[in-house]
Amino acid sequence: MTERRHFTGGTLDEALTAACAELRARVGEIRYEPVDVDDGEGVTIRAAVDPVAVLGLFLSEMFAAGELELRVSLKECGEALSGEIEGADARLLTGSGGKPLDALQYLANRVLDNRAGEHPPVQLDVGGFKERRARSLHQQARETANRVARSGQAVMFPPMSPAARREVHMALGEDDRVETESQGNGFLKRLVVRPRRRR
Amino acid sequence: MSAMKDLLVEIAKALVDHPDEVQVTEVEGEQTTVLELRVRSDDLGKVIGRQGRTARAIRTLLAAAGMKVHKRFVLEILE
Repeated sequence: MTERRHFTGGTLDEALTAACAELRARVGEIRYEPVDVDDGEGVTIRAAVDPVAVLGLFLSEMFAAGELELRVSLKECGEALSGEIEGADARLLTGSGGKPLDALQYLANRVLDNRAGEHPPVQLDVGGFKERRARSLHQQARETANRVARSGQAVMFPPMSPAARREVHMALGEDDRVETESQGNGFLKRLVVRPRRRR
Repeated sequence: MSAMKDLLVEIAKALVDHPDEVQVTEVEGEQTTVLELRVRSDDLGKVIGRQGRTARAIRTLLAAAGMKVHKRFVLEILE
């Protein structure tokens, strides 16, 4: 989590203004607490950028700017910052296999890299969409493995995200009939399922 | 200002170090609208990203949001 720093001013407002200027944030984007300083005149606070607030403001302002009927509720759970998105336009995000949802999640993480320094990874979802997507991917992986085992012919998956490829690798890791491998480079990487060579 | 232009402005401003220097120009065509994004030169990397991933994510989002208004949007990042 971001390190908290001390800021002092004649009043709380002045201390907050100093903190916002230094942290490049708006008042709503920082969390702070008063600090007792022995020789202190005025007000000293300990403040840091609040990733939840920055992300919440970014997403809601972006949705409003784009006239998208979307809302997000964010919570810090464990090691992640998870956001549940809902609203009439949510299907725009879950279309095309959820690519727009993945893109939004990627951007959310880059925004926090820039604004909040170190932060827990952001995970966005729309009503359990990712769970359903993972389940159908696992099923597709199992069916592909059956086909490969039966025919002895390797099968290549269409281009998928790194996360999706990882899911398939993991789903078939225990299947001793087949082996999986990623071929190619960058975002064109494709996953191949082939019969396991017998020793 | 159109909603798509505003959307791009919000995204770009949140990614860069100099939000005041973010500019978006909208060039409207019949089927496609070109959104020209200008940022300060040392912020270019922030909107393009490693291997162009950030730019690609922005394009994906613009395409999704564009479906609502049945239009295609093309992002051009200019120096």
